[in-house]
Amino acid sequence: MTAADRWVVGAALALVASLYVWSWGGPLGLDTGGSNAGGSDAGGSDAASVVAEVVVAGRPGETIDLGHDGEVEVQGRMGPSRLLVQDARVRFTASPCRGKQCIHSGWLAHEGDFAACLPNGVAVEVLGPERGLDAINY
Amino acid sequence: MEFEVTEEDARIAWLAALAIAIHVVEANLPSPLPGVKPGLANVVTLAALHWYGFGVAAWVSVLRVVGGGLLGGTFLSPGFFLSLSGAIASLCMLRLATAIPGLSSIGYGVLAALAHMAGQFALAYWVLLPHPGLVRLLPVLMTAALVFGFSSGIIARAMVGGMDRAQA
Repeated sequence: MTAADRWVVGAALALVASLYVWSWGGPLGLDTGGSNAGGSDAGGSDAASVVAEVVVAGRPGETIDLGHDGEVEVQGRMGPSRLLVQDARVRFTASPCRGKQCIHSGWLAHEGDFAACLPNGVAVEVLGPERGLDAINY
Repeated sequence: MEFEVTEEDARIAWLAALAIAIHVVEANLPSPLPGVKPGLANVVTLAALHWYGFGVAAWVSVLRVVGGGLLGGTFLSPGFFLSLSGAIASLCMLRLATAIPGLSSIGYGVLAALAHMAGQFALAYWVLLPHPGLVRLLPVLMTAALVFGFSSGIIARAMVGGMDRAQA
């Protein structure tokens, strides 16, 4: 291995280490849930016009305006689920289910993002004027 | 119409054939993570770079991607374009890297592998799967690229050294 090789490998190690810090959000730990730290969004969304629709156990959905920060409590089949709205995003923060997959789904920010607490019968989806592609499958 | 086959054409052809063969065999090995492969066919590209320079290496690389895609039945699929974007990115990096004095196949291998993974990730993130969660995968993919780039660089160096000694 030449001296130039050592420089290259050293620089590569430094670059890869910094990528971990940058995309996993900070030197000490992971952000909770699937946060957008380090990711850019796939389409512009105007905070004032983005709303989320909450559907509970098949009843007609109510909409939450994501432009205003706050907490919303929704009564589901099992009990209350709490949603937190912050920075034009929404997430589950508490739910009476056992698995807490709804909470682990993290922040919902883009149009089409969706989370649900199935045991409790609460579903949340971010609506918007146009649905972007979330993945291309082959 | 007659084509003139130069010595360089023949050289590129046999190197590309070797690279394609390695690529096809490696494609049948299971990989722990999608998009992560040892990339052993790159050993041929690195050797070609060392012996014959960037032009031959570039031909070998592109022919390997196209030939491997045709043989594997993935030609023009999203996976093929990922492969191609990786190859183009890594060739651009190799072209720049030839300006760095004193690099051996190990350095070239690491740089090429990192560029390859970055090029693939760029295509995956901006075109195929624009999900912010993909960003968290990038460091893991780049770690694999670093490790496998280093290993293919070592293999290339050993291969080139062994063959140069055998011919001397």
